[in-house]
Amino acid sequence: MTQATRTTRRTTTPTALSLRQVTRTFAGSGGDSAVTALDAVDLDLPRGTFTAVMGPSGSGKSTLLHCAAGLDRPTSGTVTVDGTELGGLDETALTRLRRDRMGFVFQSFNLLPTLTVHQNTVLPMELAGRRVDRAAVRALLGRLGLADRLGHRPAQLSGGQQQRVALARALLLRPAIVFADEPTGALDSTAAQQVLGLLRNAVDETAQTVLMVTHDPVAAARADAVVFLADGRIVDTLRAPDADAVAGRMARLGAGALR
Amino acid sequence: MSAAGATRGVRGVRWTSGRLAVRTVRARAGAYLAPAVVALAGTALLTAFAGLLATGRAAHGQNASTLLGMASILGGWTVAIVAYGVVSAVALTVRARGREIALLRLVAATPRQVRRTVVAETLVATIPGIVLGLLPGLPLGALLLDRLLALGAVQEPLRYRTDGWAVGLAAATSLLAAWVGALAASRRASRIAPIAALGSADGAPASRGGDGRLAKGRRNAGIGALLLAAALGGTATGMPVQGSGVTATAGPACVVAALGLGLLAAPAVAALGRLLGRLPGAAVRLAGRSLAARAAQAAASVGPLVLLVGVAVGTLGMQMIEDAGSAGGAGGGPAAQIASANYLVVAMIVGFSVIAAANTLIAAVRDRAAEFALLRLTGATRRQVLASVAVEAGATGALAAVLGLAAAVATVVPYAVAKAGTALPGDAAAAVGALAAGVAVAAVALAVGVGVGTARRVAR
Repeated sequence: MTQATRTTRRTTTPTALSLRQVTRTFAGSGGDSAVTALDAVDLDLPRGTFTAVMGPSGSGKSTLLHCAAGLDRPTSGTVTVDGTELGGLDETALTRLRRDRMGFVFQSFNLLPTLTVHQNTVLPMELAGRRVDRAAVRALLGRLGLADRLGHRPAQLSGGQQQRVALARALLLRPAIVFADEPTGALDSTAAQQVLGLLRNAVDETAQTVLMVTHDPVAAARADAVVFLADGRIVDTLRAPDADAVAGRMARLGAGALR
Repeated sequence: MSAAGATRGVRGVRWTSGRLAVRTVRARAGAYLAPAVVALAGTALLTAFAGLLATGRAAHGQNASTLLGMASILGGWTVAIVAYGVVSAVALTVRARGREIALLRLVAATPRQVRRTVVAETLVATIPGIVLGLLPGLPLGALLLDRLLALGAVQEPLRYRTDGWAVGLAAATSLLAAWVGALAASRRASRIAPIAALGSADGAPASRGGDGRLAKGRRNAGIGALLLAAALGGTATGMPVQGSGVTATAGPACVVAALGLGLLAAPAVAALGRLLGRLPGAAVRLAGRSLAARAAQAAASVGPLVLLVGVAVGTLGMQMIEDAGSAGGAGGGPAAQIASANYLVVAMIVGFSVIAAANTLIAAVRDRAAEFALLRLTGATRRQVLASVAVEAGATGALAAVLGLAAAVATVVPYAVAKAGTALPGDAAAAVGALAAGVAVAAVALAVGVGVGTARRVAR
């Protein structure tokens, strides 16, 4: 198992995440017709890129992220993460894949309240049964400005600090891809900029791949590309975006949704 | 695949589950208090029976067979009841921590690791309870033997023995009960989907079952238990009047029926909730909707109450029929004397059930502090919150009483048919009826008292 993981890691594919014709429908309740949350979506994320996903509420952003991370299964189509197709995997194999190749950062931090900063950070590593390199953990937490917070519990930290712990947890195993779902949604603008800067650094300095769902044009502008979703379809892509262009594109989508 | 790497990996995982368990139980001592208390009370009972067993092993003739038979049969049932108590208590803990468990899954714990963590947490929490439970258990056994001597079920000379063997057996069976209970409760935990961690951040229950639908395993276990209860009852009706065979088969029928009905209670809770939701009065409607939406949770506190009512009415009812028969000069042999000791034993099991039921009721209400706070924010007065908890607790208590009385029928009717030839002999009818009414009222009072008492402390 360990050997197999290492082998796959050495022969890394140039594409970190690939979605092919991914459709996800939800059965309607009480005789309503089924809802199509994702409609034949194709998406490729090259290694070492930062991509933002934007779209009005209900456009399928979260479903896209959940399907890409194997948290939800597409109705049809295939999802491939770092060369491994998710479709044939059972719950345990999916968990192992998430643990080895994916990192997660969410709006609501999602730290275990009973564990300290250090314990939260190394939890995926412990669950994977790997040796924890304490020096590397300290160095990473130090880079994220948490050097003097190792023994604190999440409740003793500010929102920005909690999100940085979540970021440390996501980055520690050097995953093939980091999924970020509204990572700045619960933060003030200073803390938000800090977290976005750390995500940006991870991409620029350690060639991490990041897929981020966000509502915020300023956050999206930190990405290399912005993918716009509407009614479950990718309707546009902006490369090297700036916040004004993103906001303008979103406003037109919003108007479209209201029409 | 490197064998050394794989071995190291497995060991690492075990070690992680264990350490995580200790940390979690330490940080969440409150949530794990309920299983610990159940283990303490259960161990006390099991230790008393183990003491009788040890005494029986050293005794001879009639004394030996009476003590060994009684202690092993009742001890066996007590193991099942304690395991059930642990299941109920841990199920509530797991539900209350649903989001946290989903989070563990999300940061990459496999379903197996989650299961192992819940089992480890339960054992870490219950082992202190088991150790403490051994202490009151030893004098409880001596008291029990005293009463058996006084009632003439066993004869002097007889010396109460508590050796290492008895203590070891009690500790081992308690641990077994806790382990089985934890294993059963951990199944639900391992089924929690990681995506449940991504819902609203308010700690809403992250598992299904709100509509009262039963998982297949639970449904099958419940139906199996009811069939077993029917078989026991049916067998008892055909047994000879003399001898202890009737007691030994009809007696456990109410325990099995109560366990089965407790497992199947969720749909009944949901139906009752929907009914209350249509009645007038804000507190009543609120209680009804809450029951309907959290049927599985409410059912977890119905279970121990059903057991309490079923065992109390079933076994004591059996005894009243026996007494009525004896007074008429029909019985009065050694079987009747052994049966008399049942009062004390039943009192002990009922005592345990009261502790287990109260325990789960407290845990169920305490876990809802956030919900009560939200109700207060949206304009409910504290009085309304408490009133709706009272209605909820009263409704679940009444439902548990009905189910428990139904379970008791599985013991009382076959016993009466075997002993007196009718479903309910006239000379015992009044006493059994009064018993049923008394126990039902006590169950409702316990539910309301504990529920409102806890809500008073929790709701601001």
